[in-house]
Amino acid sequence: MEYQKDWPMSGKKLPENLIVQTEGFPTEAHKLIRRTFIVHDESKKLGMHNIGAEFRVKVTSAEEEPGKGCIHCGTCVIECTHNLERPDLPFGVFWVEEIPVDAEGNRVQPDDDEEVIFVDKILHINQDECCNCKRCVKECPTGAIQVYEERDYHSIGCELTDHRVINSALKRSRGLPMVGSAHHGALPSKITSEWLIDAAEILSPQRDNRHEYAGNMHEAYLGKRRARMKVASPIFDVNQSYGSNSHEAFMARMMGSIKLQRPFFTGEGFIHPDFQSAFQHCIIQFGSGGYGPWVELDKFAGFDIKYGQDAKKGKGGRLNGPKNDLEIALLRCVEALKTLTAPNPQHLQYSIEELPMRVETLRALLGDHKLIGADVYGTAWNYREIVVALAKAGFDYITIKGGDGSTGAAHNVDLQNRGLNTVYLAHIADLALRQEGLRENVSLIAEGGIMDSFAAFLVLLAGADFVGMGMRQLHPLGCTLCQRCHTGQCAWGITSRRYGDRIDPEHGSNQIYEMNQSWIHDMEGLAAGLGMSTLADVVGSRRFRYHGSDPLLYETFGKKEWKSQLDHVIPPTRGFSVLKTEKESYDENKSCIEENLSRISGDTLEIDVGVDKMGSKTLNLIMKEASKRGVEKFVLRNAGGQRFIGTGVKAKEIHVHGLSGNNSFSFTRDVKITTYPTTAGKTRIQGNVQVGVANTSNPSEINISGEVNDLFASYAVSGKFRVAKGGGVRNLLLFKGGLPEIWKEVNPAKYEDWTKEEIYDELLLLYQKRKAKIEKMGWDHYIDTFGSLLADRIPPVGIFGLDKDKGMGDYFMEYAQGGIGILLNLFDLPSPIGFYACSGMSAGASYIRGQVHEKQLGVGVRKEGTLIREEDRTFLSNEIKEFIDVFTKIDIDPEYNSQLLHFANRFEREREELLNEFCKIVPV
Amino acid sequence: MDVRTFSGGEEGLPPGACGLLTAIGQFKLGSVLNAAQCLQYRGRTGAGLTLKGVYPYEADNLFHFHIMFRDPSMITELEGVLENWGWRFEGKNPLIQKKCYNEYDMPKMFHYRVTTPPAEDMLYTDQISDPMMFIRKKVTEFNIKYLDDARIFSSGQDTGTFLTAFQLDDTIKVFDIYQYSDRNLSSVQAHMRWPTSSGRGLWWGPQPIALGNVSGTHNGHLSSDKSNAMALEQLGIALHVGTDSEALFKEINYLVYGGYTLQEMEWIISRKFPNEVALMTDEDRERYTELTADPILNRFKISGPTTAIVQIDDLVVALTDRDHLRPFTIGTNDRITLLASEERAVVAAAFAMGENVKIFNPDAGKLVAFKINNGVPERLAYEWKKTA
Ligand code: SF4
Ligand code: SF4
Ligand code: SF4
Repeated sequence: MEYQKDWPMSGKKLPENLIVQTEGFPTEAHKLIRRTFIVHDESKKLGMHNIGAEFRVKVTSAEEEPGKGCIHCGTCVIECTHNLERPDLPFGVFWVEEIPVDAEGNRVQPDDDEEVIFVDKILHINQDECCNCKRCVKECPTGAIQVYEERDYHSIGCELTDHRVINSALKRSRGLPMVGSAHHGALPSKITSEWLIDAAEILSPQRDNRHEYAGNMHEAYLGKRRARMKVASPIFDVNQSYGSNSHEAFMARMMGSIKLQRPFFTGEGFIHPDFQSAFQHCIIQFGSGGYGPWVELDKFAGFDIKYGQDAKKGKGGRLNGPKNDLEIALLRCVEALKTLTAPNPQHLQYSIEELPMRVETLRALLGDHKLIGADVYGTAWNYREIVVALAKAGFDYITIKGGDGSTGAAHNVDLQNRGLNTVYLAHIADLALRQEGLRENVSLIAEGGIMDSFAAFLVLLAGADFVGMGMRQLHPLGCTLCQRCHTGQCAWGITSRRYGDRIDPEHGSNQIYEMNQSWIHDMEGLAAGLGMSTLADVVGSRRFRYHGSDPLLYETFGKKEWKSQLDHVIPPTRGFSVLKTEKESYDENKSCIEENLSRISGDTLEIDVGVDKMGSKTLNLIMKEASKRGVEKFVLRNAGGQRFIGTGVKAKEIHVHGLSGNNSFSFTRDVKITTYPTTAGKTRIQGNVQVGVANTSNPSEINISGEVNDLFASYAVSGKFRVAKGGGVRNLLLFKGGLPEIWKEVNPAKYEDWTKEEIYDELLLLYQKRKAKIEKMGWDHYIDTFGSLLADRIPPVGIFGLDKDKGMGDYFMEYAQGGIGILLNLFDLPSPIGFYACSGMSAGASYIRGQVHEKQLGVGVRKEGTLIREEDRTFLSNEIKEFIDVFTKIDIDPEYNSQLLHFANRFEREREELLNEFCKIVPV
Repeated sequence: MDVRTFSGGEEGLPPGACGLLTAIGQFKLGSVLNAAQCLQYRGRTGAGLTLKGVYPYEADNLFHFHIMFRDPSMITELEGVLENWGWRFEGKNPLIQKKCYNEYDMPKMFHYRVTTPPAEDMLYTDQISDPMMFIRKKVTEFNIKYLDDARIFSSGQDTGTFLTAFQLDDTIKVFDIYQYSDRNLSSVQAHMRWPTSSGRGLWWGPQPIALGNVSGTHNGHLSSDKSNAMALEQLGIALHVGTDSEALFKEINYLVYGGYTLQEMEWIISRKFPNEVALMTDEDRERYTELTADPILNRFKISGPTTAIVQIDDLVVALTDRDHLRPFTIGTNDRITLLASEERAVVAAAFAMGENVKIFNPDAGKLVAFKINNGVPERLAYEWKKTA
């Protein structure tokens, strides 16, 4: 089969091996069309391998339907983007072949200008690739295209084993990936039918929301304690990441949310710096991949941790290599064009008791006025405990990502593993929180399979404060639910970046606004029908009834009306320290805090922590307040494992004498931190650090004069991380690729007082600049411009000396995305590292001195023997030199000190030999 | 509000993931209690202590029971049940001062000195002659049968376990733990709990979980809970609390008494990665394969976050899961050993005691064990196994 070269407007390059038949498209004016044809291309596979087309693409010819037939304009060729078999081609289902002929009708060479008089045009249709997105149908100028189900695909099998099952088996047998997107549940949703929403009648009067103050849904707050956001819409958009959505789709949704005055949830792909004027309306999501620069976090409206979502139970998100283009990689601080697989767990929280630790760290960073949220789905049996634990841990809101929800990419089996109904989950969560006396501490958002205003209202009645509708926000942008988001080929430009310009963000945002207002209006009518006047009347009132056949729903909502009060509510008699505000904590520890602050000397403050005398939060408050008063250098004496040391503190230097506790130095930026051993009374305290230290940070350098525990520098983006000794497991997890200039330059503080209108103008202005650039350069060239910015980044480096009896634990540098790890192995341990080394590393490298057995390597990496490249050796030499400079100045312990000196001597005298003792681990 | 309701009824909150600190050797009780407080942020609903040596050992057939009654009206009836089983109460004291009930909503709790029936009676009714075996069997039976009404939460010869559904300082206050400061204690296990799964109520979940002279604390929630429990079920070992943690303690007890070496116990419970097995010596791999291929022992593997510390008589066994989803730190010198789910607790305890200890974080999945010899902890080698 032969195709045309340099397809106009698509910007894609044709593969070399294709034969080029004609040039120029559309047909140049002087060429007259002699004849036209419409041809269905034969399926390339026959017999049992022929799964066949799922949809029939029918193009009507002018003969068949005069006035409505195809005019061979080629629009559909450009509009259809779907081609799974050959994603490298610049077209999808359609292509046009032109056959040049001379005046006599003989076929001639296309470049023979003299001879070419006519062309025959053939519209080819490869309907095997059609996903029924209907883009072509809506764009064809003559309405010549119809797309509908192909009977032979859908009518196989029997009731129990239908075409879905058989075709899925066939696809598996051909080794095709079983990944899907959007609605893939195996059964119809239980949220749509057989529910009755009550109405007031006789016992109390209905109200009129059109002419009176009734049913009002425009006044609410997300967050119930210090952190609150005033919102004017009970319907929220949901987390969809920048990168999975195109720039334009993301922007349209974001602007739509701002217009509706509701928070905009970013998804785990961070955000684009062009949107910094809108950060204050956005809640940034921290997914398990931790993608992003993690700077300026206090400028967002909140921070959202994704623990799970029903549509991909237990799984992390995935961005296929081609979607992770150079710009995306730059924004996410990872390496480009590598498939990004977010780990399944949130590694900083393996257990429920680590939730408050996470929240207290985030509070230290963000303060009391920013929202902190958690996304969870409805587990089979532990759901109420999880919800209660989240509330007790201090989250401001909980988002239930329930039963019929969709996603941009997940395994089909997970999509089919449909969880509990969102109405039911909202009900259970509300009851569990009420039972514990915690309901008015935390907001509940429920989402997942909410089809329309009716279902949205049901969820509110069942107990949710807000309802999320994600997929619905995409329809005004064109989404026809073709279920191909994961391919990056979305013809509507929603989940494909290249075609994003098919969306006008401003127009899209207006449509999103109108659609949501229309639903809200419906809901207000329903509320007014119940005689209610505000959202508070509605939430949890359970004025509905289920009269369907689902036993669980019938048991819960079908038998009797719910009582207004629970029988035994446990008042929260015990004050949870995580729920205390900074002010409360300050007041409680006022004398200690002020006494310490009175010791500020110039730009320096020395604090005696007294091992266990000072609480973590008190220490943090002292440091934050001192930094506001101009302190830039902190010296902490007798640290006894206080948590989150330095988080949220703006300082240039922090010196910790003693043990730094869990999550210390997390989210720090541009600071030099050093720990030291110390002696308190008779007890020698090593300069060690505990779990999760320096996570998600951008320090200038951190020097640990002892050993680290697990997850050291996990998610860290940039900086030097030196550790005198060894560590536990999962150190340098998801180590990123460096902080690019664009993220160093952002200054969202500038926009804090801007009005919405000013923000729109700024967003549109920046978008016009971007669009003009793309149009001028073409997409591929535009994206290529980010290459040099990527190359300019300085990747983070983690360098460990290791100890006499402890090397580096398992899963070192797991999923690393560009950073460099070095193990010096000062004590010449025969086996310096554990197992699964660098497993899932997509970029970066690890240099290890000593024996690393192939079996110790993780998945997707390989070992290179002796370092032969000069740049490797120079890089390593510089790092080693700095390491020696730092730690020879610190008294760690006699044995270590002398071994370090021995190593330093060898480095001076036998440098080449010593460097030969390193191997390098790199991604395959 | 009645205790039953407060306990969460049938659907209350329980077993959990938490903070733990164990001290063995020569120490001051007060220092351990103070140090344990720094882990309180890990716990919310439940705090417990097991003190070894809190009661003087008197005889092989004399045990100290701590019993909590959910329903006070059942006390007499349930005491009758125990007596009908042939047990003799040598004494009964309230465990908690009356005034504490004014402040806290708690089940009624008593301390009983109990002697087991003569050997021939135990053989006649239960085919058991060993008093300890009899206690373990019957306490389990009682706790399962009367789980809605009462729980024997301590049943050792010289140990005492003290639990509340509150926080550690509440537990200390309620039981007036400082009154035991002058006792000749050889170990203290402290546990602060944050429940993670549905169970039988707040009061039924706190740890240490104690049965006879075995007491254990666990931080984490096992994804292998069902598998572990099924293995024990097929061995005829019943769970009386019913949690993942209890199953783990019983596995360890079974393996210790089964004469397995520490190394073998580690292989069985914290199963190695396939590539580690590939790098073992042939001899080790053969034994490893033999053990892990055993259908019961195969189900003993734990998955999910774990730091566990189990005391069995004078032996303390501790381990983490192979993935090291929980931290674990040990500090030791020639007088004391401190084991904790955080380095911070070890440092705080050592500081409070004025001790200098060598601190280390055992590698992922490593099992460590200590034996208390004349009040002094001694680290046991991997080859160690219990001999009859
Ligand atoms: S867009 Fe319509 S008219 Fe144009 S080539 Fe395609 S089918 Fe024919
Ligand atoms: S419906 Fe979509 S996929 Fe199918 S031919 Fe038209 S544009 Fe292509
Ligand atoms: S976003 Fe695009 S690819 Fe995804 S379902 Fe909608 S139309 Fe299809």
